[in-house]
Amino acid sequence: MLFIELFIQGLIQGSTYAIIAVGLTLIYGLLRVLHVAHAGLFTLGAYLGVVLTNQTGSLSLGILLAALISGIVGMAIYRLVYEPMLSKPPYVALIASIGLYIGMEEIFRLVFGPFGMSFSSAPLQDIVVFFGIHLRTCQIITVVTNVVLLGILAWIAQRTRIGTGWRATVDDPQMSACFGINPIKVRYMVFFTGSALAAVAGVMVALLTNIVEPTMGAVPSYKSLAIIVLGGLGNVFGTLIASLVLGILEAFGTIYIGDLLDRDAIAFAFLIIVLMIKPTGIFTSR
Amino acid sequence: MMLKLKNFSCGYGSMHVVSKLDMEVEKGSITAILGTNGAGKSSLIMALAGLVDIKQGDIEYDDQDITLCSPMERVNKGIALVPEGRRLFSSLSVYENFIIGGYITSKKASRNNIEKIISIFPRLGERFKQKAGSLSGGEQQMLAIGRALMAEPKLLMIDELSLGLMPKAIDTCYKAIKDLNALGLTILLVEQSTQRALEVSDSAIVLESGNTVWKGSSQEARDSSDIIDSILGLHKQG
Repeated sequence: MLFIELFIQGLIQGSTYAIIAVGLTLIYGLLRVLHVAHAGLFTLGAYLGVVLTNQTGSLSLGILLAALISGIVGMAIYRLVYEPMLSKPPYVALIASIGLYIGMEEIFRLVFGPFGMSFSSAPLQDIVVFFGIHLRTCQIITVVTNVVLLGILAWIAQRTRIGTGWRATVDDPQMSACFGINPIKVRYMVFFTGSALAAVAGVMVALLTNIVEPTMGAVPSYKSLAIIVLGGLGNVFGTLIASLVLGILEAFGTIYIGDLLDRDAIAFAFLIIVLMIKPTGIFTSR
Repeated sequence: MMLKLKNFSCGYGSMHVVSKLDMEVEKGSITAILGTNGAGKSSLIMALAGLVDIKQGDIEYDDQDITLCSPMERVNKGIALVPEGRRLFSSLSVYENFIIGGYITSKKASRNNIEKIISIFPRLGERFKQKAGSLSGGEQQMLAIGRALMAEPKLLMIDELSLGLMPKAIDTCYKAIKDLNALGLTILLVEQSTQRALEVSDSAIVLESGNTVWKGSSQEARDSSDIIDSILGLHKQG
C-alpha cells in the first residue's frame, strides 16, 4: 500500500514538473534559449490563481484567467525581451532571462507583499479514500489536470496541422517558412502555450501547499532546467519521462533516504549522477 | 514568361555572390543553371525562394514583381523549392512532410495531391509512417520533390537533383522531372551534373563566380563541345 501511495505522490509531483518543463523545452527547441524567466510565469500563475479565486469565488475561473493572462505575459516577454536578441549569441538571451526572473521576483514582492498569500478558503481539501489510499481532492485534480493538459498538447502536436507545422518549425524554421508556415506566429503560440501551462502548474502547487511566495519559482526553475537537460534538450517526450521519473524518485527517496538527504537534495543528486554518466541527457534530441 | 530577372544581384552581408544577372524562364520549360562549385547557383535559387538577400535588380514572376515578397508569399504565389541537401523535416514522418508541403492548400487538396505524388513515387507510399531522416538518399530526394509538389507550384526550383544519389535513384528523379514538365510544370534546375541537366532542359545558363558566362538553348550546348568544355571549366586548364 505504501508503495502505491508513494507512486501516486510521485505522479502528482512528476506531472507538475512535466507541465512546467514542457513549456521550457518547447521554447528551447524553437529558439535555443534557456528561458529561466519561465519560473516567474509559474509564480505569476500561482498569484493570479489565488487572487482571482479569492475575488471571484470560482477556482475554475481563477485557473482559466491565470493561464490566459500568463500566456499573454509570456508572448510579451518573447516580443520585448527575446525577439530583439535573436541575432545575438545565446548567452545574451540567457543573461536577460535570469535578470528578468530576478526582476519578476521583486515585482511580486512589491505587489503582493513578502510574506506569502493563501486562498481565503482553500478549495478541494476534502480527503478521498481511493482503494484504501487517502488523498486530498486537490491532489487528484492536480494529476487529472496535468494529464489532460499534456494529453491535449500531445494531440495538438501529433494529430493536427498546426501541431505538425509547429514541429516542422522546430526542425527547420527557414524551410517551414518556404511552405507557408509563419515562424513568428509559431513562436508566439509556443510562448503562450508554455506560459499558460506554467501558470496552471503554479495554481496547482498553490492548491497543494496553500501558500504562494515571491520565491516559489526558484526550486521548480532549477529542477525544470535540469529535467530538460536530462530529457535531451528540446525533446518533449524525454522531458515528460524525466519529469515523472524525478517525481517518483523524490517521493520514494523522501521516505527511504529522507534521513540522509532532503527532497530537493535527492532530486539534484539524481540529476548530477545521471548527467555525469550521460551529459547529453537520457533522450538526446538530435 | 514565367520568371524574369533583370540586373539581379544577391549575396550575404556586403558580399555579392551573383552579380548583374539577366535571365528569363519560359512557361512550361526546363531551365538548367549550370556551373562549378562556388559559381553562385545555389545562392541564386535560394534568393529566388526568398532565403538569400537580394542586393540589386528585380524578380518578375508570372507578370508580378515579387522582389520584396517573403518566402511565405512566394510559395503562396506558386514557387516551390527542393533545396540542396533536401532539408527534409527529419523528425517528422513521410506523411507529415507531405502535410507541411501542402500547408497552404486545403485538406482535401492535400489528400488528392498525396495520392498523385504516391503514383509518381510509389516507394514513398511504402514508407508513409517512417521518419524522413531514416530514408535512403534517393527516397529523401523523392520526398523532397513530393513535398514541394504538395504546394501545387507553377514553378518548381530544384537544387542539385542528383547530388549524392545512386544512378537508379537519379534516373527515377529525372524521369519524374520530365513527366511533371510534360504536364506543364515549369522547372528551374540547378545541377553540377552538366550532361544530365542538358539532356532534359530546354535552355541553360552557365554561371562562373556569380557572373553569366553563357546562356542559350540546351540543344545548342549539347551540339557544341566548346560550350560543354567551358561549362565544365576545361577552358581554364588551357
